[in-house]
Amino acid sequence: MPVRNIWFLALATCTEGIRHRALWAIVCLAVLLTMANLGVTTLYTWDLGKVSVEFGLSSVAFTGLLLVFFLGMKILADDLERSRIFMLLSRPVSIWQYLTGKFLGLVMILLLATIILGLSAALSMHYVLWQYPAYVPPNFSWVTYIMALACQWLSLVVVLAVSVLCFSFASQPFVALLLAVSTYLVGQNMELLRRVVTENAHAGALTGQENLVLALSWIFPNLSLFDKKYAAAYGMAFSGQEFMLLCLYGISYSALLIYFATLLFRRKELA
Amino acid sequence: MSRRLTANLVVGLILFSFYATSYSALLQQRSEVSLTSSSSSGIWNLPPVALLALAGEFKGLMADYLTLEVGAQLGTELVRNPAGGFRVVRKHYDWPGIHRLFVASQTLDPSFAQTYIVAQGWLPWKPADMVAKTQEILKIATKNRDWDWQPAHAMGFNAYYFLKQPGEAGKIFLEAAKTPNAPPFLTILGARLAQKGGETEAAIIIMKSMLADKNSEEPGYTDMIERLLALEGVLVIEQAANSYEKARGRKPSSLTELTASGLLAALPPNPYNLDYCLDTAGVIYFDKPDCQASIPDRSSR
Repeated sequence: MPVRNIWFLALATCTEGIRHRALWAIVCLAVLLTMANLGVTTLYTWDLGKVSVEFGLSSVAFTGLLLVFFLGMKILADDLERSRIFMLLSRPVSIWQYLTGKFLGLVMILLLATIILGLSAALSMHYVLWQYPAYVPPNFSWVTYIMALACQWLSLVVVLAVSVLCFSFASQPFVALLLAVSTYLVGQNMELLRRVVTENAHAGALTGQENLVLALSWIFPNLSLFDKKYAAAYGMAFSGQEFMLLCLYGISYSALLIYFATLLFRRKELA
Repeated sequence: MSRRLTANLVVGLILFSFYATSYSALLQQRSEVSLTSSSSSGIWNLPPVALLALAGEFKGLMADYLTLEVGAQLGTELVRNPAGGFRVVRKHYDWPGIHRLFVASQTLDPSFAQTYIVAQGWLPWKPADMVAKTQEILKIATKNRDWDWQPAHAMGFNAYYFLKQPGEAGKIFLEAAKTPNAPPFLTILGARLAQKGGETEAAIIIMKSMLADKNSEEPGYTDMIERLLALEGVLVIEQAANSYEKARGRKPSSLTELTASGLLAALPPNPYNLDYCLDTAGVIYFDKPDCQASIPDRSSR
């Protein structure tokens, strides 16, 4: 029964997202960005393959972030603003099922968008690599590209989980959005901060605060670990083991956040 | 009605004049500011860590943008003559600012070829004259592009041409030659320069290590063997010349004198079928039989 409820909610959320005009606007933007790839690449004289792959994957990342921060937040906020949440919670749907279902529905939208954008980017990249074979990175591999794309999607899933958590306790959707964006920025630099403090004896105010930074790196998502654009762009293979560990990290971190979101959402004033 | 229309037109005209004046003044001010001023300001002046933090997951994209920014600032500017045709404008570049752009781009993406190639095309040459800084950029590129022999090749060129360090250049070329798919000429050139710079033994060791990984069927293999034999011949003569200097307190004036001293029974074979030559500075050549033009010395093999 809980699984059925979650599946129903996930499917309904995904359908709602697909019907949303914002999704199609974002997808159109992404397709335009991907087409722009063809023009931008020709502005360079060397490493055209790298520029093309980097641009394609960055388009996926940028559009995915727009989807998470605007469409995801809007879908969550709409339930509260239009009081649809009461209709759902009055049925035998618990809060954790509601949040998990919503989250999985949005994850499905992200997956769909990543596949569309990834394919679109791959087409433009394939054209560039075919047109300028001399500039294809020596070890370029489509497998690495697909793995990088999957990592990108996982990164977006983690950001989405952060957004759901922020939504669960923030009083206003705008506050939740601000918190989620801030966490995203911190998460992108967590690895950098950790390395600066642990590897640099002159880290300014952070000198000697290794434990604090270490603790923060366990609290905030380490999003830069999912960034494999560089590896894909230069054909630097990363191991299947690393990929599996990234998947496990992304899934476990997101699950934990959704769990906390459920606890916090129970205490939220819904009326 | 007509009064209201007139008033609206007047207000519209005033607003448009205000807009046109302010915008043209702004454009005028921008055209007066040096073209290079944009390179000396901007977020790329931030420390590398801050730059990395700001770029987030779009580091590569930002590096791409910065190389375009550099490209826009470099190059020739043409201005249309009133009488027809064009004239070249002599631009004043802010080289430290442009160098900062290169560094920023490389900080964000240390493997990007566009950065090191454009830097090599401009920075070491006059009027920029920033050879040491270019070498730093090339060193980072070499480290991060282990499939590419060209950054090390450019480094070797700079060491030879600008810094007048043939020995160092030779060592760099030999290192570059270890890169997969590096052209065979790098080994030959590196060995020659390393020997001229007094690095004969190092050149022999590097060449031997490279030959160990090569197949005798590979193009350039025979050339490498010949160059190795020539270097080994030079090393034998160098060692004998050093012994001579220790024993007699001076360098030998010719190879004939060296062989006559008994320290070297005979000159080693030269694979190029040329005579070895010892110049007045004590440098031994395997490819320049007339190096001692003032004191003819034709040592026979």
